[in-house]
Amino acid sequence: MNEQEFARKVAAHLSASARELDDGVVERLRAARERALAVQRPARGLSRFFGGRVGLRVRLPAALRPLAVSVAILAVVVVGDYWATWARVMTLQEVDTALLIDDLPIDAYLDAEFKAWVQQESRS
Amino acid sequence: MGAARIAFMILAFMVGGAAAAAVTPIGAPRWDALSAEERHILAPLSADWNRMSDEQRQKWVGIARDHRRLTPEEQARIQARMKDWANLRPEQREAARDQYRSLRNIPPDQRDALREQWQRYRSMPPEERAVKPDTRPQRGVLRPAPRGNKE
Repeated sequence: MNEQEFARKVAAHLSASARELDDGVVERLRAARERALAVQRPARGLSRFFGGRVGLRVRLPAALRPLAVSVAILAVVVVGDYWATWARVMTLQEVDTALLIDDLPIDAYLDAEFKAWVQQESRS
Repeated sequence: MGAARIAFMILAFMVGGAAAAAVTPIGAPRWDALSAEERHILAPLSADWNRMSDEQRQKWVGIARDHRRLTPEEQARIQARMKDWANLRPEQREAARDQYRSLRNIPPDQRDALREQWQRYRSMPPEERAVKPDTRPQRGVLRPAPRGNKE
C-alpha cells in the first residue's frame, strides 16, 4: 500500500465516522473551523496598513465600518483643533500677562526704534 | 455602493469641520456669563467685550483667573493697561510681543537697566534717538574684488 492509497483510506474512514457524529459535536466543529478561517483571512483596510497586528476587537457590521472610521477621524480632528486653540490661547495669556505687568510701559515695546537704540547703547 | 460611501464620508467631514469650528475655542463667555469677580477685574474691557474674538476673550478670562497670584502692584498695572492693550490693532500687539521677547532675552545685567534706558530715550529729542550705522568692521564679510582684476 503506497502513501496516497493509505491517505485515501484514512480520509474515507474519517468521512464515514463524521456522519456518525451527533449534531452538537458537528456544530462545535463547524464553529471551530470558522474561527480558524477568520484568523487565517488576510487583513484588510487599516488592519493591513498596520501589518495585521492591530485590529478592532469589536466586530462591527460591514455597513457601519465606514461610519466608525469617519467618527474616529472626526474625533481626532476635533480634539486636535481644540488642543491647538488651547495651546495658542495659553501662549498669548502667558506673554500678555508678562508684558502687561512689566516695569516697562507698553509704549516701550511698541517703539521699534527703542530696541535698536538699546542695542546701540550696549555696543558703545 | 463605493460612490455612496465616499459621498457619505465627505458629508461626515463637512459636518465634522463645522462642528470643530463651532466648538473652538470651548467656553469663550459673553460678558453676562462672567463671574462677579471676573467682571470686576476685567471692568476696563466691559464696553468692548462682546466685540472681541473668542480667543481674546478666552485669554482675558485666563488672565482674570490668575489675577490673584499677582502682587497688588502687578494687579494695578495690568488693570491700568488692559484697555490700551485691547484697543491696539492685532499686528501692533504681535509686534509688541516680539519686541518684548527679544528685549527680555538680553543679558540680565543689561535687562535691569532697561527702565532707566527707556526714561533716557524718552527724554531725548527725536533726532538724537536715531540709531547711527554700525561702522565697526564686520568679521567674515568679504569685500568685493576690484573690477578688471583678472586672475
